[in-house]
Amino acid sequence: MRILLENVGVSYDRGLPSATAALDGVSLSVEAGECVAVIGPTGSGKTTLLEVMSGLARPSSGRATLEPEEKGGLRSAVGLAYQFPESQFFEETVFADVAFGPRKQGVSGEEVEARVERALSRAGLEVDGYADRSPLSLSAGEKRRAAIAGIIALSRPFLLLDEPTAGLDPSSADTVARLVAAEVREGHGVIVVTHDLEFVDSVAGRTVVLSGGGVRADGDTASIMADQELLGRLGLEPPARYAVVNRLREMRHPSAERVAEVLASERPAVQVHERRGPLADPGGR
Amino acid sequence: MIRLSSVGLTYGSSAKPALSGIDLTIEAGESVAIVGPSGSGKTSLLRLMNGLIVPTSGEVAVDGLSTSDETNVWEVRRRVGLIFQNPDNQLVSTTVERELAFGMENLGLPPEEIGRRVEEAIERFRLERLRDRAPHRLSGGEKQRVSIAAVLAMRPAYLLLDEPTSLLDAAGRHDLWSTLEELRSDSEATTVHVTQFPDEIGMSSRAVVVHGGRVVFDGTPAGLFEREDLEAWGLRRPPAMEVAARLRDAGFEVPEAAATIEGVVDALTGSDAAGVEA
Repeated sequence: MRILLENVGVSYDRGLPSATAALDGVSLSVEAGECVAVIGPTGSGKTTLLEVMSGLARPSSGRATLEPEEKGGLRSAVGLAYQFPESQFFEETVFADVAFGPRKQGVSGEEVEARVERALSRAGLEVDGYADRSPLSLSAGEKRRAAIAGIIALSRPFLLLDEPTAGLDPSSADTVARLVAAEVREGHGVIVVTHDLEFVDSVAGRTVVLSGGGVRADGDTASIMADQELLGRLGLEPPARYAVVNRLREMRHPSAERVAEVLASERPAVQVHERRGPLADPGGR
Repeated sequence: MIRLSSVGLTYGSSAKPALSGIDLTIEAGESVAIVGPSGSGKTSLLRLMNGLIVPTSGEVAVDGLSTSDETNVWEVRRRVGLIFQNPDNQLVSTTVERELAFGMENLGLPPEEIGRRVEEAIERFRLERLRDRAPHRLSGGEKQRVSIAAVLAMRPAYLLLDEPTSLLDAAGRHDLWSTLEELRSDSEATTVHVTQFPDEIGMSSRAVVVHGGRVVFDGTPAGLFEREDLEAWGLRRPPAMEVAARLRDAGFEVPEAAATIEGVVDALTGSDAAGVEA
């Protein structure tokens, strides 16, 4: 299954003097089972892209489709977590809030319970400790993860996250990284829009660079991060391990390739691909 | 000077205090980073400093004005500007230009002065292109820039920022940082900001770590990054320091003090330190 965007354009305020093209000629395909990061300067169209992929915004030109076609299209295949999703809590307990989506989908009570438990544990929130608490009593990092759990509980093939680590401390950001890795391992497609390129480095195998509403680059994360010329032009800074190597290569310094080799392995601090803790069990569905 | 004396804070009927035993003095001209894990009380601490909330026990005073005295509220808010974490909580107007003027109108500034400062803010934060746009239709990062510009235009003596760069790209973060640096060197404003970015801690003059509602560290950023118990506070060293440590393990000579990309590169390319036995 994949999300396919063909030559998509989106304009706001069409016909008005304030008309702006948020996206222009975007072609992109994202498969289930991969994690794609979308990066780009502020205002480059990243959030609009997520809205198109989730079927919330209709392209002004071009097409956004789900392949193979299914009833409900993108709207039913995609779960979208907005920036600061925790501002949308409204139920009295964490359980009820996470259960709201699946209940609306009409799944059975037992299935709702199973999904909520799975989603919470995936988010690193143990059911025993958290299910009965008020979402408003949680810490910022816990709220973020509980809000994302609400989207996971919808059990949709694709998970879209808009700035999922904004405002999170590094260890909370790591729990989000592990959550993403677990979803991908289970065959979900995850698309992450973020300014946090260290986070991109830890979760995404592929990176799409947006600028001025268009795709400027689309490739494996390591090659994108090594493209200092492109990133610099767009005012983006690669993760530290790439930044150091890029600088050394720019200077044609003899140590560049040896340094690159040392830093090529995964960031030891995150190790999202390791199966452990509550994420060790991929869970049945 | 903002002074917190034996401050305790308990929300509603909650059994556990959000903050307790806080003694903290922010002097004019400082740039203070407040750090700590999510939910440790950082945002509460900021809100106490501009009187948005008042302490359950102890006292918060801004230039000697107690925030618990209701007659001081207006004056405290005039001196202390607060920028929220989520810009959606802050933007109220129909155009960016109106948004920039809103706070100053509430202060009762003369229209000419407001007009002048609006233009200044538009230039400083490169908002010309967005001038007539509706704030709620902007991107997250653009909203963040507008909300910061609007508060700065009010010229507060103290500027409190709650993770002001969480939605900004690297260029936007650099812009904001040089603006804050300008404010500080021109003695225009004292800044206190909550951040999760180790790099931003490194750029501050002082780091205060809040953990479990208490201040557990108060000192220089360099002193903080030396601490062994950093991770127990949910903190991490700047990514460049992690990279430096990995290179050291592999036999490259990179000093412990290298905390930035430039520092690491300099160490690797310096005459005496080019990866001897790697």
